[in-house]
Amino acid sequence: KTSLDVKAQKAAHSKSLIFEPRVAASQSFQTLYGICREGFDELCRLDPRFAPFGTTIFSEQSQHEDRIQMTEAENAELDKRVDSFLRLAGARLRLMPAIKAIEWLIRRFRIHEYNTTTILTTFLPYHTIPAFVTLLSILPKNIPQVYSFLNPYIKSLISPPRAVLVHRATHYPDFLTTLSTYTLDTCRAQQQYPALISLWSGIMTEAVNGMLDKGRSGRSAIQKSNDQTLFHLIGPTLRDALVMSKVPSLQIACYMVITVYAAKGDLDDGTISALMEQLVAGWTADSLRPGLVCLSTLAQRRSAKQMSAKVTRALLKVQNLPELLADVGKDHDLGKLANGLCLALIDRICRKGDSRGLPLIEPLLLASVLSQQQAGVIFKSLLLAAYKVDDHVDEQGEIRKNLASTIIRLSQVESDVRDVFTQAINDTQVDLDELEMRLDIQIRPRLLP
Amino acid sequence: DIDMTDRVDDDAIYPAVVAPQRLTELFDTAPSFAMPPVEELFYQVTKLFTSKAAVPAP
Repeated sequence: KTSLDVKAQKAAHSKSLIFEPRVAASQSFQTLYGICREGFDELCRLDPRFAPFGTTIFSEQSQHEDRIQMTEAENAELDKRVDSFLRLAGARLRLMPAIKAIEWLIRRFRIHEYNTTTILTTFLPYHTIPAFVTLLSILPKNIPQVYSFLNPYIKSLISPPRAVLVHRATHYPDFLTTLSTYTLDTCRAQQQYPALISLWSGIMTEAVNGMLDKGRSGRSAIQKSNDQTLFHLIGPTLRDALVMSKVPSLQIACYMVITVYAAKGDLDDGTISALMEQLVAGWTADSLRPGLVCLSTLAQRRSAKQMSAKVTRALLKVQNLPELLADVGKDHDLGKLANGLCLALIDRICRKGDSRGLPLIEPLLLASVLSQQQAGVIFKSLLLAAYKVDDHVDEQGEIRKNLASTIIRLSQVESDVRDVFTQAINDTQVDLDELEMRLDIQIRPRLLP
Repeated sequence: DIDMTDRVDDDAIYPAVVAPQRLTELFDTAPSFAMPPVEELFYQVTKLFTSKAAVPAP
């Protein structure tokens, strides 16, 4: 039995990312530590965030630490450090120093056996390179269920193609959840890197697309239940990721997922509105432009026209919004978003006497982001607002004066939309004399050519 | 009376029809560590899913 144990120990000790099994089996921890610590020191020079691990899992003392001798609590603490280190090292797995450092954790703490899910997820963005296959070659016989789909690739020692990952994520929620949780935790810890975000965003987007196709049903009850299942699966991830304002690339990745979800899914207004509000709650200068595009995709799918108070408030805070919308509008249809915003701003004027939005409406009407028909409706709404606003919300009459001058400027503008405004005045049969009196301003003389 | 309805409303909503391989083509061009910036991919996905061509006739 003893000789069997020794054999098993030797076999375990021979599992290495760098060395041939025969060489690895004969290495002492002291020799190994020298080699691996060199890699770790190099990592510290590249990124000082690695340094704290030098006093724990890479300390001199670590040479004499053995998981089997450690208590459950000590093991849990070790797992936490290993997880954190792997997430940070993920960005540099194509560099030898990172592989050397991870080699130490494999040889000393057997993380390929004890932290299999984490190390596999860490290596996943590199599933096409030889290091991934080497990792597969040293995994224990029974790997966690979530990665059991890799078994054929472990047996044949070839890299799994991307399509296999997408297929698994589409049909098995546990894999998608594992990848999402890992990615979001990494972002929360500010340890993200482009390859991880790229992998997650691509797989998530394709999986959502696939799940929407899979969930289609001619029977509305089944369709509804499928939609619900999908929302329960991706809703919490999107909600958490959208507000990670320190990681704009993750937010933009979410916008991508949402674009597919909104364009293909049969979302109700409540879901769309909630997504819109979560989106604007988290966007920053770095995610604003794609955020506006995504917001407009959502607005296009919503049957309600007017923007909600939360979305309106967020848009009011955006600097140079009309210029930005005019620019984005060159490539994207922002009609429903701009229309919904103008309606909400006019509503605020009428109900609350809050005319902060008035300076936005005018350039939006002239920026060609609205269709002629939408511009006509907004202009009519302005005329109507001029009638509706009363002393109750506008004690000094300032708002009415502002409204009047806006209406006048718009009706005098040298552009194609002028016809739309003239038509709106004719359609609404606004009595300009009466409006003039109400607004206490000379409109008619200035309206005449 | 002021008529506030917009009668010729062409806002009818249809789900986008995009073949899954079109999406795969966007993402499977390079390993994750050599992909274009996520913002660029976002605009490509948006183009694929919101272009007028993707909306079928009712």
